[in-house]
Amino acid sequence: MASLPHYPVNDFGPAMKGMVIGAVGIVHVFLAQFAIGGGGLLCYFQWLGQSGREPAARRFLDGYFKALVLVSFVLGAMTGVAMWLTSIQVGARTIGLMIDEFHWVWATEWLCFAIEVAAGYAFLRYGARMSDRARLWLLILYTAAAWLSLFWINGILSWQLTPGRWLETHDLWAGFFNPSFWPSLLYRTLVAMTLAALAAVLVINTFDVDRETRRRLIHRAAHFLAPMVLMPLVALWYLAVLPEDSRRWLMGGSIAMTMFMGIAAGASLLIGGYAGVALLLRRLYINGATAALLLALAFGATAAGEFVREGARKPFTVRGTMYSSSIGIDEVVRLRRTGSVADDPWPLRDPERYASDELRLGAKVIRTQCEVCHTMDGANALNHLTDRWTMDQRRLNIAQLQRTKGFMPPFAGTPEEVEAVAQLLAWHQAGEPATWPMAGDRAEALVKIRAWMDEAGSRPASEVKP
Amino acid sequence: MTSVFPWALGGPLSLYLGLLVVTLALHAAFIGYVLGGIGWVVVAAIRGRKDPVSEVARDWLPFALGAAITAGVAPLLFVQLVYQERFYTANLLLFHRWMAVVPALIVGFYLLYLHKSEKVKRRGGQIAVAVIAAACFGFVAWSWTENHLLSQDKGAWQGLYASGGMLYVSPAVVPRLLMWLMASLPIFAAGAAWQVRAKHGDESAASVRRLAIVALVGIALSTGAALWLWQQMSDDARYDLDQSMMGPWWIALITARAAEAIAWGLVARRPAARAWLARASVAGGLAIVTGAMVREGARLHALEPLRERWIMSGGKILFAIAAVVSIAAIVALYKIVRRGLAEGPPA
Ligand code: HEC
Ligand code: HEM
Repeated sequence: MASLPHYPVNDFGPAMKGMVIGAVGIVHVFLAQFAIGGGGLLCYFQWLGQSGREPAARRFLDGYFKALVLVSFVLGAMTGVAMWLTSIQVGARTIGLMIDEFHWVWATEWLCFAIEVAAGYAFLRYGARMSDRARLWLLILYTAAAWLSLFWINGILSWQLTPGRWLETHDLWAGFFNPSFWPSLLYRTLVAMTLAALAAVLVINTFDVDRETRRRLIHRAAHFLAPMVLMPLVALWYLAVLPEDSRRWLMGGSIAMTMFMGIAAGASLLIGGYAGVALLLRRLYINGATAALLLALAFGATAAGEFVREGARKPFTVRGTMYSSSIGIDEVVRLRRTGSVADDPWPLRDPERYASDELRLGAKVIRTQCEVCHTMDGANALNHLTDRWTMDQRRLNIAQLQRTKGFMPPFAGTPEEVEAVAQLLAWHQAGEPATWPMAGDRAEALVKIRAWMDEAGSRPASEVKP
Repeated sequence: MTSVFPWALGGPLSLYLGLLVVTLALHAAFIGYVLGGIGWVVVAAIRGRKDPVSEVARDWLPFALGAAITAGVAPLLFVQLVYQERFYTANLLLFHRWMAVVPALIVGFYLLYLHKSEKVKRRGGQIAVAVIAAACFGFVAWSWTENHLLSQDKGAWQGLYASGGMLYVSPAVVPRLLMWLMASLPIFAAGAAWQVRAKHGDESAASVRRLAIVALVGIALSTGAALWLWQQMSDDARYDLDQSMMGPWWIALITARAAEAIAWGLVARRPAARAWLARASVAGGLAIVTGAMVREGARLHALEPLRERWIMSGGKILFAIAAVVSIAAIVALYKIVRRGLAEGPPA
C-alpha cells in the first residue's frame, strides 16, 4: 500500500475516539432500524385496515407515522450525517479506504435513501387524503427503499469485519457478499421488526381509544415480535462465520466483550420471553410503562450489540487490511524502518510541556499509534495501565504490542520510538519533572528492543500461532 | 486540463467531478429555498403579518430542509473521492464545529415543525422560533463555507492545528457566505412563486410581484458579493478561474444570470404571466448548475491524482441500474400520489 497522508489528530479529552463514534453509532443504528421495521409494520396495518380486518387501523397508521417521521426521520437522518463526520474524526484513512472501495455502493444506497425520504414525505403530506390502495403502495415503496438502504450499507459494514475472499481478489462483490453479510442482514432485519413492534405498543398506549381496541391493536403489533424466535439461530450463524480470534474475544477471551455480549443476549431473551409468553400465548395487555421498559431494554441490547461488533474487529478497522490506528497492515514493515512520525507534519499542541525531544517524539508516536484506543489519563489510560511497570517491562510490552494483548496492532515504528514511548510513561510516573536526562545506556536498550520486536514479528496477533 | 468539459479529464475523475457538480447543484437548490424561506419568515414574524408567501414557506420549509440534507449526502460522498485529503483535513481541524452542526440542524428542524404546527401563538415566541431557526441554518452555511475555504488553504493548516483554534479566519469567508445567502433569494422566490400560484391562482399576483423584486435584489447583491469575493480569493483560485477552459462556463453563468434577471424584471411587471416565471425559473436553474461548475473550477489545481483503488473499484453498473430504477420509482411515486388523491380516502 502506498504511503497515505498524515491527518491532524484531535484530542477528545478523557474519552477515547471509539466512545465518541460508538455513542453516535448506537443512536443512529437504533433509529434507522426502527425506521425500517416501522415501514413494514405500517404496510401490515394498512393491509389490515383496507381488508376490513382491523377497523382502528387507520387511527394507528396516522399516529404511528407521525412518531416515525418526527423521531426517526429527522433524528435518524441527522445522526446518519453525524456518522460521516465522526467517522472522519476517528479514522480518516479508514473511511477514505472504504469510500475509495465502495463509493458506487454508497451512491446506490443514497438513491435508496432519497426514495425513502420522498415516499415518507409524500405519505406524511398526502396520506390522509389518499385512497387505501395508493397508501399501501406508497408504504411498500417506502419500506422497500428503507430496507434496501440497510441491504447496501450492511455489505460495507460486514466487509470491515469479514472481508473474506476480497483480501485476495479485491473484487467488489466478493467483499460485499462477504461471509457475515447474510447473517448480519437477517439479524438486523429481525431487530428492526422488534423495535418497530415495541415502539408501536408505546404509541398505541398514547391513543385515546377504548381498552378493547387498544388491546387488539397491541396484539396485532406484537405479531412483528414473533420472528424474534429466529434470533438465537441467526446469532449462532453470525458467531460461526466470525474469524477465530474475534470469536474467542466474545466467548470469554475478553471480559468486557463477553459481558456486553451477555447483556445483548440477556436483554433480547427478556424481550422475546415477555413477548412470547405474555402476548402470543396469553394475550395479555402491555401498558405504556412496560412498553417503554422493553424499548429501553432493546436499546441496551442494540448498544451492547454494536459495542461487540466494533470490539470484535480489533485491532482492525478493516480486517487483514488496516489497523484501528489507521495504519495499513502492510505498512508496518516499512514504518519499523523509517519511523511512524518521521514525516508527520502536524506539530504537538503543547510541545513545551515535555522535558526533552525524546519525550516529544514519544508523544507524537502515541498520538499516531495509540490514541484511537487509549488516552493518557482518562479512559483506558496508558499511564494507569503501566504505572507499576519496570522500565524493561514497558519496553518489552510495547515492542511486542500484539502479544501483550491480541487486540492491539503490532508496534509500527522504530526501536527509538518504542523507547521514547516507554520514557514518556516513566517520565509521567516520576511526576513529570522539568528535566529528563537521557539516563542509562540507550544503545543497549535499543538492541534489546529490536530483538523483542523481531521476535514478535510485524504481523497481527491473529496470524501468530500461540 | 485543457477542455471545457469535466468529462474530458478522462476516466473516473471526470465522472466523479460531474456527479459532484450535479448533486451539489441539487443541494444548492434546496438550501436556497431553506435560507431564502427562513429569511422571509423572519421578516414576516417581525412585522407581525401573515402573507401568502410566508404561509407557503411555513408549510414547505420542513420538507425543503429534509430534501436539502438528503441532497447534501451525495456531494459529501463525491467530495470525499476527489478532494479526500483536503476535505478530511479541514473537517478534522474544524472538529468542534462539526460536532455543533448536527445539533444545530436538529434544533432547526424541530423549530420548523413547531412553526408549521402553529403551536406558538405569542408574537414574541414566533419571532424567537424564526430567528433561532435562521441562526441555526446560517451557522451551518457558514460552517460549510469556512470548511470549503480551509480545505483550499494548505498554508493555514498547521498553524490552526498547533493553536488549537476553532475558527478559520480568512478575508474570503464573509463575501463568500454573503454570496450564498443572497443567491438563495432568487431560488426561494422561484419555488415560492409557483407555490403561491398553485394555491391562490390569480389572487397571487401581488405576492409574485414581491417575490420577483426580492429575487432581483438577491441577484444584484449576490453578484456584488461575488465581485468582492473575487478580490479576496486566493491567487491559486483566481488563476484557475482565469484559464481559457473556464471561459465558456463563465459565459454560460453570466448569460443565465442575466437572462434570469431580465425574466424576473418582466415577472415584476406582469406577475400573472406564467411564461416569464417559467423562464426565470429555467434560467435560475441553469445559473445554479453553471455556478456549481465555476465553483469547482476554482479548485481544479487541488484535484487529487487518480488513485488505483477507485479506478479499480467496481459497482459502476450497479449504480447505473439503480439510477434508472430510482428515476422510475420517483415517477411511480408521483403517479401513486396523484391517483390516490384522485380516488380520495374511503368514506
Ligand atoms: C485497537 C486498539 C488499541 C490500540 C491501537 C492500542 N491499544 Fe493498547 N490496549 C488496548 C486495549 C483494549 C487494552 C486492554 C485494556 C485493559 O485490559 O483494560 C490495551 C492494553 C494496553 C496496555 C496494558 C496491557 C496489560 O497487559 O495490562 C498497554 C501497556 C498498552 N495497551 C499500550 C499501548 C500502546 C503503547 C499503544 C500504541 C503504540 C497501544 N496500546 C495501542 C487497545 C489498543
Ligand atoms: C441547513 C442546512 C445546510 C445549509 C444551509 C448548507 C449550506 C451549504 C453551503 C452554503 C455550501 C457551499 C459552501 C461553499 O462553497 O462555500 C454547502 C456545501 C456543501 N454541503 Fe451543505 N448545507 C446544509 C446541510 C448540509 C448537509 C446536512 C450536508 C451533508 C449531508 C451537506 C453537504 C454539503 C457538501 C458536501 C458541500 C460541498 C462542500 C465542498 O465542496 O467543499 N450540507 N452547503
